[in-house]
Amino acid sequence: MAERDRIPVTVLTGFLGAGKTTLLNRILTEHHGQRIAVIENEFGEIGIDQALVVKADEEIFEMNNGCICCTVRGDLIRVLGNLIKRRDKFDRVIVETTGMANPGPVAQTFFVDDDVQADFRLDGIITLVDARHLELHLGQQQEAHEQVAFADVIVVNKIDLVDAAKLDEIERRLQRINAMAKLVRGQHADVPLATVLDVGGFDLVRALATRPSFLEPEYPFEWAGVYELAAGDHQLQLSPGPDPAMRILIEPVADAAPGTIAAAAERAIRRMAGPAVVSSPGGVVHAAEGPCELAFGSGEPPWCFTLPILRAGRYTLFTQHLPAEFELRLADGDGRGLAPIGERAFVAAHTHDDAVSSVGLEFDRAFDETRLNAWLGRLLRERGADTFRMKGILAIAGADRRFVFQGVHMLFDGRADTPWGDRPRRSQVVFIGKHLDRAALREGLGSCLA
Amino acid sequence: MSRLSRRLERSRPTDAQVTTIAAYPCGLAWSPRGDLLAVAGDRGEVELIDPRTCTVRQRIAAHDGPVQSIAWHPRRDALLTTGQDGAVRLWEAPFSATHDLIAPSATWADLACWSPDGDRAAVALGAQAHVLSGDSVTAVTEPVASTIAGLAFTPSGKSLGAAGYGGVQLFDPETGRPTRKLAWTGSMLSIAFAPDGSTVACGCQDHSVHFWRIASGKDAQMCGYPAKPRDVAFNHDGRWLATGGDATVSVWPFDRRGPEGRTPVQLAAHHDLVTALAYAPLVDLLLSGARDGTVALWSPPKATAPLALSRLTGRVTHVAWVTDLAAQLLRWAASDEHGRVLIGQL
Repeated sequence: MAERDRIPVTVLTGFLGAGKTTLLNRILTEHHGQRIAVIENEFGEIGIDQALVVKADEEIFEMNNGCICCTVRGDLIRVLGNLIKRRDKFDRVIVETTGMANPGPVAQTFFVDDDVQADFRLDGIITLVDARHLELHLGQQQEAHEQVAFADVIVVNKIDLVDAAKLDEIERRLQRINAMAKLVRGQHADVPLATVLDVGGFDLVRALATRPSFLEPEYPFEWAGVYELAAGDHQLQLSPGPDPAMRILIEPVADAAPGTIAAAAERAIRRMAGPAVVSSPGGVVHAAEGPCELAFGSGEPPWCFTLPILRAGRYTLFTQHLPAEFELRLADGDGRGLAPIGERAFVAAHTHDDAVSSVGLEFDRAFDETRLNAWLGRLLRERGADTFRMKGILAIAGADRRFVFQGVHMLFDGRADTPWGDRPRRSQVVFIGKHLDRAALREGLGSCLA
Repeated sequence: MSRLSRRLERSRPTDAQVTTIAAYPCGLAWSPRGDLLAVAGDRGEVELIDPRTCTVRQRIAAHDGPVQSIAWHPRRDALLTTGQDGAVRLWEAPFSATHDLIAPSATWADLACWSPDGDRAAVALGAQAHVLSGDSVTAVTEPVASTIAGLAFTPSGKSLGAAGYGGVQLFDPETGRPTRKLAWTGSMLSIAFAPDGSTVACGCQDHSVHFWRIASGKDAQMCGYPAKPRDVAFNHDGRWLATGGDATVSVWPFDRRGPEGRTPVQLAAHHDLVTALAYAPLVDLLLSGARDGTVALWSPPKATAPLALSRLTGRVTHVAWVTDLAAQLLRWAASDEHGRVLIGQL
C-alpha cells in the first residue's frame, strides 16, 4: 500500500496529570478538518461526543523467545484491526496510553505486526511532562525515563508553575536524556497542533531532517561567563566548594551573544581537555593559554589568583563547576567586582545522574558496509534491550546515496535514500538508551570506517 | 462416503457470481441448509443473500456500530450476532425481531460460536466467555490472561476452548469453570479443534502455529512463517491442517504420525498474504483468500495447483462453505474489503 494511504497514528504518553487528556481534547476540538479515532488506555474525559473513541485495556504480549523486541501491545493490534473496518470514518488515530506505559511495546507493534503495518504508520510519540513534577517522576519511575527517551516531541506542560531558571534546567535534563526530541512548551497543553501531528518521527526520509541538538556534546565545564576586561591585573577569588580543585579556561571572545558563547563552547571542549597548568592560591592564571587547574590545597580561603590581561577586550571564563559552588568572584585591579555581560550554564559530562541518555556521533569519513553491518548486528543483539531508539544518516564507501536508518530496540529499518550530491558526506548517528557508553560507541563505529 | 461427496470428488467449479454490499464485511456465514448467506457489515447491518439469485433478500439492522461476529445455529434458521455496541442478539427466522441475550455495554462482544448440537452458544466479552443457552446467559467463565482471540466448542460440545495470550484455556460450558490449561508463552490468535477432538491448533502472533494433543497435553509447533498465521483450518476428517501466514497456503499432515519432522503440502497461487481460509465439509476442498484479492479453490493433497482462481477487488476478509443437501451441492462464498461478495457452487 502506498505510504500516503497508510493511516497516521500519534501516540500520547505522559504521567497521570501531565495533561494528556487536555491535549487530546484540544486536538479533537480544533478545526483541522480531520476525523480522528481515539484509542484510550487511560479513561479520561473526552469532551467530544462525535469522536470515534475506543477504550481498551493495555495488553502487553511477550513472545516465547523472551526477546524484548518481540514485546507488543495486543490491544493495539486488536483495536486497530477492528478500526480498519471503518476506515472511511477517520483520517488519523491517536493512542492515549496510561501514565505508566512503556512506549517500547507500542512502537514495536508498528514494526512487527503485519496487519498493523499494512494499514497504519506510527507518525510520532508525543510525551507530555508536568514541568513542576518532572523531577519527582524521573526520580521515582523508570517509565518516566522511557517515555522521555522514546519521544519524538516532548511537550513541557504547566510551565506557568515553574520559574524560568527551573524551566531551563528541566529542558536541559530532558534534552540530555533524549537529544532527538523536539521540545515544545505549553501551559495548558496549548501547543500548536502542527508541533504534535505529522511529526514524521518514524519516517526514514525525515529521520534527521532537522539537525537536532543531539550532536551537542557533553561539556567538560558547567558554566561560561563573558566579561569585559581592561588591560592590567585582575583578581580571581574563590572559597571552598565541593572539590579540592577546579579547572578553568579563559579565552578571548568577540561578543556575548548566545550564538557566540555556543561557538566558543564548542572550541573550548577540545581546549579544556588539553594539558593544564596547575596554579596554587597566590599564583597566576593566564588567558588564552589553555586550561588551568586551580589547586586549593594551601593557604587560607578565600583563595586569590592573579589574572593578567595584556589586551583589553571580551573574555569568556569557562569553569568546571558552577561559580556559585565556590563563591567565585572576578575583580578588576581596583578590587571592584565584575559581573558577566553574558553567561550560560552547560550540561556537564560528569554530572550525569540519569541512566538513560543520548549519544550523538558524527563522522567525516565513509563507512565500510560489511564491517558496519556486522558491528550494528552485534550491537542490536547485545545492547538492543538497552537501546530504545536510534537514527542515522550514513555515508557508505562506494555508494552515492545516503543510507538512512532507524531502530527501536532490536528492530531495525534502513534503506538507501537520496544521493549526497554536493552535500558534505558527513555521517550522523544518534542512540538513545540506558547505560550507553559514548566512548565504546564511538570506537566501535570508528572501527567500521572505510 | 455419501453420494454427494462422491459426486463432488469428480466435479469442477462452475462460474461464481458477485454481489456487493455497501459495507466492510465483518462476518460471513451460511445458514445450515445453505439457502441463505449472511454478510455482516461495519454499520451494524446483516444482509441475507439468496445464493441462487445472488441478491439481497433481507436486511437486518442488527447493531449500533460495527458487527463483530455472526454465527448461524447449526440446525435451524437462527442467527447469533455480536457487536462493538457490546450487545449479543439472537435473530430467529423471519429475522424481523430480536431480543438482547446480552445488553449493550462498553465492552465489545465478539467471537460468537455454537456447540455442534446447537444446545449452547458462546461469545467473548473481553477476557471472559459467556455461555448462552435458551434465552439467557447460563455461565460466565473466569477471565483469561488477555482479551479472548479465539473461541470454539470442542466437537463433543463438552468443553469450550478460549485462545489468547498464554495459550488455550478449556472451560466446562455448564459451569464456566476452567478445566484444563494448555499453556504456551506467546499470543494465540485463533483456535481450531480437529473433528475428533484430539487436537487443538492455534495461529500465533510470533509467526508460528502451535498445537496440543489434548489427551496427553503434548505440544509442538510449526515455525518459520514470514507473517502471523492467524487462519488455521482442519479438513473434514482431521487429517490435514491448512494454515496462512504467507502468500503460500501450507497444509500440514495431521494423521497418526502427526506433522512432526514432516513438510507441508504447499499451495502457491496468491501473490500476497493469505487472509482467509476454510475447508469444505465432506471433501478435501479448500478455499483461501488473500490480501491481493485473489480467491483460490484447492484440492490438496491430490493437486497443488488451484482448481479455480477468482479475483475480488481488495483484501479478502472471509471465506465460508456449506452443504446444500436439498440441491445436492456445496456452496462457497468469499468477501472482500470493498463489500464484494463472491458466491460459487460445486
